[in-house]
Order: sequence, then structure tokens, then C-alpha cells
Amino acid sequence: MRRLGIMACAVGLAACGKEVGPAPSPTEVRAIQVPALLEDPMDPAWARVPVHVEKLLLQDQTDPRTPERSVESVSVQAVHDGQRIALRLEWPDSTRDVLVGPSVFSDAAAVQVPVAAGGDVPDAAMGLQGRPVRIHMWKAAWQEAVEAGQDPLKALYPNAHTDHYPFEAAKDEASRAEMATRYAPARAVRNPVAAPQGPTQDLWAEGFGTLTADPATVSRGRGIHEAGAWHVVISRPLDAEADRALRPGARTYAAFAVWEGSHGNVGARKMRTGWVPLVIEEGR
Amino acid sequence: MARVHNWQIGREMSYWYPESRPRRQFAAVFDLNKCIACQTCTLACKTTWTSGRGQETMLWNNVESKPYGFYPLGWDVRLLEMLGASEWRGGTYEGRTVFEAAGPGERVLGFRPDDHDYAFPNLGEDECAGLVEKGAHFHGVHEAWMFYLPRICNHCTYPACLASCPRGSIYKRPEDGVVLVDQARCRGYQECVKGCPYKKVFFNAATGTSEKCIACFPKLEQGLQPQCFENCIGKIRLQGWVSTPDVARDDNPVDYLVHGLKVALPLFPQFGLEPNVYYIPPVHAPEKFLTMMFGPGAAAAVETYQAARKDPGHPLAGLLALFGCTPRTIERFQVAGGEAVALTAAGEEVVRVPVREPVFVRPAFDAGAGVARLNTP
Repeated sequence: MRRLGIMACAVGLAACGKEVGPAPSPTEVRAIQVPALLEDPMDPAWARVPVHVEKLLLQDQTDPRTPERSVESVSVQAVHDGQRIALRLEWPDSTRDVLVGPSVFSDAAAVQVPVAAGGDVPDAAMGLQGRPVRIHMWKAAWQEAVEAGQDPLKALYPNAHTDHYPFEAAKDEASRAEMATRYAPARAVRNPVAAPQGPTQDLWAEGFGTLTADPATVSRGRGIHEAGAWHVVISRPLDAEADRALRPGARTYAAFAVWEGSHGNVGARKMRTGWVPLVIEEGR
Repeated sequence: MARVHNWQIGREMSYWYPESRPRRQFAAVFDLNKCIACQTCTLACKTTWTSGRGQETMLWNNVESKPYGFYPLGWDVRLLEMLGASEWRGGTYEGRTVFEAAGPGERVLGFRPDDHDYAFPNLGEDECAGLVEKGAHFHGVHEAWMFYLPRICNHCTYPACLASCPRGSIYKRPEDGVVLVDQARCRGYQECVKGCPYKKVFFNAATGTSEKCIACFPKLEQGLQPQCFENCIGKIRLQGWVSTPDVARDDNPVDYLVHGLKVALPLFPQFGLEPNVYYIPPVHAPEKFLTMMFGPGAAAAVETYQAARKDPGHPLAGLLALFGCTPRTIERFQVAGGEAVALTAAGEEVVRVPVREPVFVRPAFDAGAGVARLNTP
């Protein structure tokens, strides 16, 4: 009897779906306009935004490929405030992987949009030569480094001790910093991977192997791992300088990717979607 | 996959990119009979290039003991096991290379070591093959054996690291064949770490990118040998340029050792990368083991080396005397009149050394002074 009671309650909730949230959006991601952009993935206001669930595919078009699909689908929601669009991705992941080290990989997610406006989009897999795509990538390790001040070496090897680094012998702070940079070549040549400025990075690509970082990142991101799932919001300007596909009233496309660090997902070894129609509602 | 020619395995093979040889190819010869694992090379490299944060366990140059030393742990035996038993027929390798044995969805057959595999760079040091039983004594042949294996990046003709990188962050310089990771483009996927069978690409957790031996290219560009060569106190190393067999010259020291005498051999040629560090195998290790490591020419190389040692007029004796005698790259050499001469490509003399150092015998008793000489410094 007790079980029946619980079931009745569940049926009742389902029947009153409109009261607990909007109808799901089965065919497209609808970015609805909101007075204030939702950049916190746990903001309760997200409950009023339609959810589109998209099946994740293995990246199996170019080598190296993803050997196994560890996540079935990603739930996508979108809002905009007339200036910026925020996309919320949610996917189950039992492990919170926020470190990068030797054979240690971070959880991550990305949103891809075409550079050109209109419905004529290039291949969903990283674009095509002459028809680039823009990618906004969020990485748990970058967020942890920037927001929590995580030092990867201390996090990986908490008990390790190094007697001496040559740069420590430099006479002043400026010389020490200069010498330390010299022994960190990726940082010396300003590789954005070597010194993350925020949880996201803006990139563009026009085919496999062409992914290149923008000189500056205009996207923002925030991810929270809770209840065995990642909840990540990636926001970016509408009508950005680098691309014109996203603006109020536009019907365009977006594609999504998810990396599960504990499964060795990195780079091309990821789970992705094809193009998903993205409708950006006009202001009401 | 393209079809390319790999002279070290005597056949065509599959590779990710078409054959594209540099204008000249960085190469090295290491004489394993002389290495004493003093690690001066390791320190010369470490203090020059990898003493930053994130490079703590990174050794672009290392010296390990064989058969039981590895850095990283089990790097060679793990891959050999993955490749399975394979055969040579004459000078042709009949097994599969790491490119041909790649599984579905992979570019190269390989594995990615765990970080603890790098934590014991000298594990197995000085461990010899077999036990020295109680009562064992030397009777002309050593029962147990071991030797030291110094290793740097092989700057391969067909680099597996380069083939593995899905975003073209690794390139081979057309001017000297040096293989480099573009530190501005690398995004730290570690595919190269997995792909390189010699495990000579390392992930730097502080920068999030992969790094490797750069063959001291700023020195190469000035006609100087890399740090690990110049600082080798055992004088086991010679840096130069290797040609393909069809255009090899006997006055080019590396060509002469590799192609002329065939006394210097590539490390694990069966992996299929055409590595460009060549080893003179140790004379005292079992032939089977040397064949596994250096290919089917190992026994003949040992024989040639031993024969040359007995003939002071042999050019090999002279050339070996030039190892470690100059910081400059030796492009040409001559041996005549009991002297070995290192030359530039234009024929200018770089250094001249006697093939055999003169020996002076000082009598134990000084008759002039009427005293016995004490043999203490």
C-alpha cells in the first residue's frame, strides 16, 4: 500500500509537469530571453528553462578515436539576456576529475557554433577548411586552477619535496619569475594551456587537427559537480566580433562535446553530438 | 596511411605521413662498451634544460642498466610484449611495426606509462642477468652480464610521437631532422607520450604540455655537439649526420660506422621508426639479447668491433679515438700515419689525436738518484 502511495504521488507530479517545469524541447535547443543572465548552473531559475536531451556519439571519425561511450546523453538548456547567451550542460559523471597530470585527465565540456550566420553549417566535426567553427571549452582543471588556486604538482604529489630549483637562487623576485618562465617553455611562449586565465577557452577550428586558441577569451564558465553529475554553464556574447551566428531571432546550430577524464578522454577522444538546431528567441 | 621506405628494416612500411626526409639528419653513435653510467650526460642535460617545476622526474637523457633497468618502468619489454614475437629474415623485418600493429581507432601501438613509472629512474641499476652462485669464480668468461644503455630522443625519421599528435603540434625540422614539440601549439593530450615507443616525450604537469629532447638545437646550429655529448667523460658519444645507405660516404664518421662498417646499430629497429641514435653493441652480452635490441646485425657488429681493436691501422680505431675529443660536430674524418683527424665539411682540421696514446714506462728504480720510486701520486 505504501509503495502504491508513492507511485500515485509520482504519477501526480508527472501529470502536473507544467507546474514543476517547462515542457522538454525534443527537437531543438531554445534560448529563451531572461531579464538577468543565468551563469550559476545551480540557479533555481534554470528549472523554468526547456531542456533538450541530445544523445552523445563517439568521436569515431578521425584517429585517435574514443574507444567507449561512458555517457549516454547530455541535457542542454539555454537563456540569453539580449547581450550574452548562456548554455547549461548537464551530464552524469560519477567521478569529479579536476586534475591534469601524467595519464591523468580532466573532465571537460564544449559548445561549438558556426562562424557564419544562417543554416548552412559546415561539418559538425570541427568544421571544414574555409568554413570555420567557434568552440567555447570549459575544463574542470582550468576552473580548479583559477578559482581554487590548485597547483597541479601539489595536488598530484602532496608529499613530494624538491630540494632546490635553480630559479630560486636568482637575486630578486623579477629575476626568479623570469628564470622560472624560462624553464617553463609553454608559458614562455604564452601557450594558453600553460597559464589558464579562466575556466573556459575560446577556440576556432576548420577541420580535424586545426583547433587554435583565440588571442582572448570572451566566454565565461562555471561547473559544479553534484549528485553524480556535472552541471556546467558556458556563456558568451551574442553577436560576438569573431562570429555572427548568434543573435536574438537567429535560427542556427550548436554542437556539444563532453570529456570524461576518468575514462582517459582527452583531445579527440571525446563524446560529441551532431549539430543541434539552436533557436534564439527574440526579446518579448 | 602512406607507404614509406625504412632501410633499417629492409622494406616498405605504413606510416601516417608520406616519406619526407630532412636535408640532413641529426644522428649519434654511442659506444656501449665504454659507458660507465656516471650520469654526467644526464646531469648536463638536466641542468641545461629540465630543472623547472613540472620537470622533476623528466630525464631527456637517461642511462639505464640492461637487462633489468628501465626508465620509465618496463618501457621496452611492455611494448615488445604487445608486439608479440616477430622474426627477421636476413635484413628484412617480417613482423609488424608499431604503425602496422596499431589497433582500431589508434594511430600507433603504444601505452602511456603511469606517473609512478617515472619515479624510479635508476631502478635495476647494476643488476646483472643471472645469479652469482656461491663458489662461482672467473674462468675466462663472465657467467653474468649487464651493460649500460644511455638514451636520448632518437629524432626518428618516422617519429611515432609526430604521427600520434592529432593536431600537428610535433614537427621534424627540414634542416636537421630534429623532432620538436611546438610548445605554443601543444594542448597536452599526451598522445605522443603514448605513441613514442622509446618513451622520450614527457608530460609536464606544471605547464600542461608535453616536452622532449631538443638535440640542443641552438648548439647544433653553431656546429657544436649537444650538451650530453660534450660532457660525456667516457667519450662514448659522437654526434654527426647520417645519410641513407645509397648515398653514404666513408669519410662521414656516422655513415662509416652505420653503413660502412655496420658496427653501429639502431635501437629496436623493429618498432619501425628508423631511429637515428646508433649503438655499438657491448661485446660481452649474449647475441640473442643484442639481436632483440639492435636487430640482426648485432653479432657481426661485435665481431667487427673486436677485430678492429686488434688492428691499430684500422680506421675504426682512429675514429673511436675522435669520440669526445672536440665540442664541434665532426663532419669528415681521416686516419693516417697513426693519427686521426677530425675535419669540417669544407675539409678544415678541427682536431688531431693519436690513434694510440704513447706509453711511457717509468722504471721502478731511479738509478740516477739511487732510489726506488713510490707508485703513489
